[in-house]
Amino acid sequence: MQKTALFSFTPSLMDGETLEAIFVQREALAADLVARVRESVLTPTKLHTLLIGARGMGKTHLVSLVHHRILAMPDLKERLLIAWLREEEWGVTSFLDLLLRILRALAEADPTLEARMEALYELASGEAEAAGVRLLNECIGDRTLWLIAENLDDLFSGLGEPGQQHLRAFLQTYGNCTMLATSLRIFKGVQRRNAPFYGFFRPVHLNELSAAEAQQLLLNIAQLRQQTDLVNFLQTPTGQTRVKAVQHLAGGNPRIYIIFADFLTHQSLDELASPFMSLVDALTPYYQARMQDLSQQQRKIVELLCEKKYPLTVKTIAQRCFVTAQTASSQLKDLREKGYVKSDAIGRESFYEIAEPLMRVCLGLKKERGEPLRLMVDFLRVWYPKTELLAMQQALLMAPERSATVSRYLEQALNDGEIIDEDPRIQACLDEIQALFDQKDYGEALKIAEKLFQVRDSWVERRMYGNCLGRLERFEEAIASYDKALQIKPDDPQSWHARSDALYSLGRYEEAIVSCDKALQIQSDSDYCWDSFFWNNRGVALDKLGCHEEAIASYDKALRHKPDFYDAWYNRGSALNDLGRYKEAITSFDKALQLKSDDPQSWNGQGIALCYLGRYEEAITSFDKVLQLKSDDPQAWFNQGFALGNLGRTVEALARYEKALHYKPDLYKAWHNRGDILSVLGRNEEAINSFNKALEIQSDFWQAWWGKGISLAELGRYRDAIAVYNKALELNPDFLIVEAYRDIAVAHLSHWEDNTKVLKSLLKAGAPILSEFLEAVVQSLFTTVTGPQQWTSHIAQLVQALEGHLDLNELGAALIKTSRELTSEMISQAKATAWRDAWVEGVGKKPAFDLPLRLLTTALHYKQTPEDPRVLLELPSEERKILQQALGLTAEHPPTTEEPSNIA
Amino acid sequence: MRTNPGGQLAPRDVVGRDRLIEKLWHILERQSLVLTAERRMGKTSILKKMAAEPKKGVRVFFRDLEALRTPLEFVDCVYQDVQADLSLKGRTLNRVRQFMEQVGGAEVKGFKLPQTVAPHWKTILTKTLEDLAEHQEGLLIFGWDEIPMMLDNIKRGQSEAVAMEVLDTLRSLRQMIPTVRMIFTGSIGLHHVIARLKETGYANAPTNDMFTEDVSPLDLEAALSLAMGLLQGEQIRGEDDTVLAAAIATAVDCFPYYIHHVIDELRWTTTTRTPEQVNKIVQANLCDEANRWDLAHYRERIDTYYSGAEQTLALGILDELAATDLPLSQRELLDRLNIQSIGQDLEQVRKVLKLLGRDHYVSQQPDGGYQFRFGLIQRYWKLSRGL
Repeated sequence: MQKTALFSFTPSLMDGETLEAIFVQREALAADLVARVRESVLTPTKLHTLLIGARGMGKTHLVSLVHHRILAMPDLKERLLIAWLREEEWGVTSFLDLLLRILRALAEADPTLEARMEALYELASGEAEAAGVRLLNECIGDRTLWLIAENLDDLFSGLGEPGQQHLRAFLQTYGNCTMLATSLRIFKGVQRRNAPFYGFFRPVHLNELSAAEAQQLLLNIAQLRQQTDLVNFLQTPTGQTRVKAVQHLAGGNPRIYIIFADFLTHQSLDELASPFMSLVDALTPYYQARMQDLSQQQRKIVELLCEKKYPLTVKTIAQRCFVTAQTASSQLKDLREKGYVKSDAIGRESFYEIAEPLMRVCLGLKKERGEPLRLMVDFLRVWYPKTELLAMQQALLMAPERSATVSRYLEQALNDGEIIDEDPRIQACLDEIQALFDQKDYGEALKIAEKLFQVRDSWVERRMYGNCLGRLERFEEAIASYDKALQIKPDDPQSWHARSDALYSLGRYEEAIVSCDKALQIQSDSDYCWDSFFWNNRGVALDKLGCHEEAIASYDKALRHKPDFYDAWYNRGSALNDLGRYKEAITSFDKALQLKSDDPQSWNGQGIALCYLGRYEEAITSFDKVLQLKSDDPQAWFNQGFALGNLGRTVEALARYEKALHYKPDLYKAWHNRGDILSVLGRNEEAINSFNKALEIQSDFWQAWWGKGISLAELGRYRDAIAVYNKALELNPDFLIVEAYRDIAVAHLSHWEDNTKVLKSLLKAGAPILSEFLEAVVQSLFTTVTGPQQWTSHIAQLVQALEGHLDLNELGAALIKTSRELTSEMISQAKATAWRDAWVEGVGKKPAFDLPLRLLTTALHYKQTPEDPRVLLELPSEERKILQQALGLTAEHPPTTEEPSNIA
Repeated sequence: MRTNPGGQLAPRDVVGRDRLIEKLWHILERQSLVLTAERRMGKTSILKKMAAEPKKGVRVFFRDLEALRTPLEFVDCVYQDVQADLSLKGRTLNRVRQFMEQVGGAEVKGFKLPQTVAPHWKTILTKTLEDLAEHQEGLLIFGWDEIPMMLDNIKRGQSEAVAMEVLDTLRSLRQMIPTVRMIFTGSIGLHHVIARLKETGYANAPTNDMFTEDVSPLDLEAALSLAMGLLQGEQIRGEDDTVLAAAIATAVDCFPYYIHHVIDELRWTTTTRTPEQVNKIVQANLCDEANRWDLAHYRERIDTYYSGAEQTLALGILDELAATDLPLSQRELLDRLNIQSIGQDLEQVRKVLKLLGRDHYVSQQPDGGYQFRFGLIQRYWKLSRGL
């Protein structure tokens, strides 16, 4: 195996091919930097770039690679001069120093320069500087100087403001230099508006490597070294897990990956321990150097965070370091910008921890003299998934020879719960989630729950996560999360309960009940208030399954534990309503309303029960309460309309239905009931439209077909009515009343002879005779039989047939109904008079016909002078009203005996 | 053309300044010039373009003076520049040479004027310019970048009196030599330096013979052209390049520096390049904790350059103006600031408004009302002050 040297700390020592071979992620940036150098060399434009990245982030590698590519460009050779100031260019305290370093760098390619530089040392510093500028300009000539300066922040710090001013003045005045600089961080010398180099450089922040990029880097290294075992290993799931573990340990720092390249393939713990300690040992100076970059106060903070295994708040850090919170906060901000710590905000609190766990491990090495256990344990937790650690422990137990040290490592690494539970972020997350729940910001709560997983992944977190998903109505995912919680802790009643809730929301009521029963099994003997909730939820699920009796039993259980449980009283009332036990339902709703008088639901339930008990006035008051609390509740408007309709207050009922439809235009039952009311009011065309609306929304709503049929019949459109009745019967063949109505319509279109046959058969069978049928029979006599004599004899036969079977007043009522047709312009006065006379003669002196014939006579008077309704005054007022209705002269009809579509 | 936020532009890449430069040449025919603007507005690029592309018969000497700390160093720079120019034509600085011989036999051999002639810097400067005027026909323009910085250095390193002398000497030279013109620019407002000098008793108005011209952001057309050029140069494609360029130009109030920055950031975004993306970048920079655009400077320099009472008033005025989209008159500002006694306080408000105007925070509208000069800064102010 050929092993190519990789200089992870000094990449500038690597040759161009090696640099290219292991280069990842930054190809676009490298190409851009090369293009910028070219443009600066080939045109008067001078571009200055500052690469910013933490130690080991690959700045020098990138610079070396760009340098290598630029050197390979023959067209730049004669036009470019390169001065690469090394990272170790310490001791530059003035512009003159810098000039000398630049000249020295140039002298590497031009040894004659050394001698010319010597003359500068003969001069006083001021003169030397001027001479140095002149010498440099002479060297540059008509070429461009590419000045590469690493650690520009250090360089500027040494130069001070005067030195920086000189440098900038030089760059601005002569315009013959382009700079590529690097820095650990963005610093005041280039950031502050009053600094000489404010905005002078184009800053480029180097990103950390992602896991995929890191894997590519390691693959590149392995391929370069022809390490086929490593190439293969990196492509396995374990290999990928290792790369992720390195990422967790050291962030996306390319240098660390290069160091870890040799380490990845160690499989067993025994193989791992020793190389790990060597690696930590090798890296320790690097991390120590990083600590030396910090102020004393910052070191103290970093040390504290290294000691703790979990993140700390600013307050705790301030307390532990004996500094003010403001100082801690500003130091932490700086440390974060420098990449030493990372922060995690939970609610208003920020938690800080070491950005690279490996730093904690390495810096801990010195403290754990002779006892590397803790370090190794920390490392193992990251390096191996818990399942793998368990498997290793198991394997170790079976092994004939056990390593006591390895056993200790494993035992300790597996026993990590205690450490994690101390993490203050857990409580902070839980508190924040609760606060977000209170604000109903479930989306944010879910984000916090996801964050919580990164700290701890136990049943509590899974349940909390499920709760967040449930609030977001992502019930399937919520159930999956509860299932995970229950895998970890099967006896957690709250997870079962929450799962039941989610199942209920998905309409999976049977499973919801099973979940609920599980929860109750766990806590069956407890008076803990959660029990009541379980029982209540169980009741709700049972209700949904139509098991109202069992549901009520569940609610009773809930109320035994918690008599002031409003929901249970309300649900119990609703279940009782469903069972038709309205009086008990009203009692339940009363209880609920004692506990919570401002809940429209209970008022509505109570109103419905009162309706069913025929206590419409009280029901109207209940619905009024609902509407006071929730004036836009369409159901309440609808229900009130129903109650009013049943009290015959048709106009008010109509207004309520229209209100209901205003708030909910697709409330098809309201369209239907409106149609009914319009029909009662004789506004049959409008009624038909209203039924049509209901049918547009719900085409299988047979009641609307039926209502439409009635209105069509009222308008004399019997054929249409028959078709519509048939449709209703198609949908509900068992509803015989519709059949009867259809027969009536048929009767209207049938001959007197046929109708009398039907009538006789009905009478023979003892079947009830509907008034509407009787009207149809009478109507058919008038329309299908001609000649007053025939009328008289048929009337006499009819009276005879009905006598003893039916109250003759009903026949009289049917006769009154004919008065409207008699007054029609299509019927002559003579025919109308003949009809009246035929009845006078046919019925003889039967008192049941006194009133109908009196009304018929007045109708004939009215027919003569329809423009003068005063003729109606010859009747007493109560009789006048009956005639007016029969003639269609009034809007008010008596209350309907039909029950409109059911209340909601 | 590639993004180059803060870098040195080739004269051909200085976009949208042709009309301004033409105007400056016109002014320079009559008098000298103070070029003011916010930092990174492009003053130096304009000056260098003028030096690189001078009018016929005009000689422009460009020099960045920020590193200079004594009058002698300044004079030395002028001397070196003039000498370099004249030596190309085979001429010498006779008057200077003779004077140096008179004052102790010193001879200019090295790269710098010797420290021994420091007391005579005014004379050397005068004679240098006289020599130049004698040998060079046409206008002689000295474009001195960062001159306020040099004056500040002199004031701090030597004394206010010396800094005042420099200013007075330069004014005197402009009077004495009719073909000499000077262009002063700098990142520190010259008025702040002069104001500090006045605090120590300086009574002159050393630039009252100069025309003050403010460099504004680009006009929309030029900003669009710049944005388009940079988008093309960086091969950035949006759904509609013109719309994208317009979004960039307007989002940063046509500041060329920020146009470069936004496009530079846009290059590295992987999402679709849209106006929304542009607004996100600008918004992120306005709220940037790391303060990469250093907009915090607009708040901080109030503390640096305004006295205690002025600071309070300036902050109050800026807060009020930031919170409204309409210009506010002096009276409305007084009302909003809830200042009770009108007389004296109105004067204070006027004074601070004038300072804020010079520092490019506010501008006065034709109807007399004041508002933030730049919408971008107003947005920043509003965000950072939680208004």
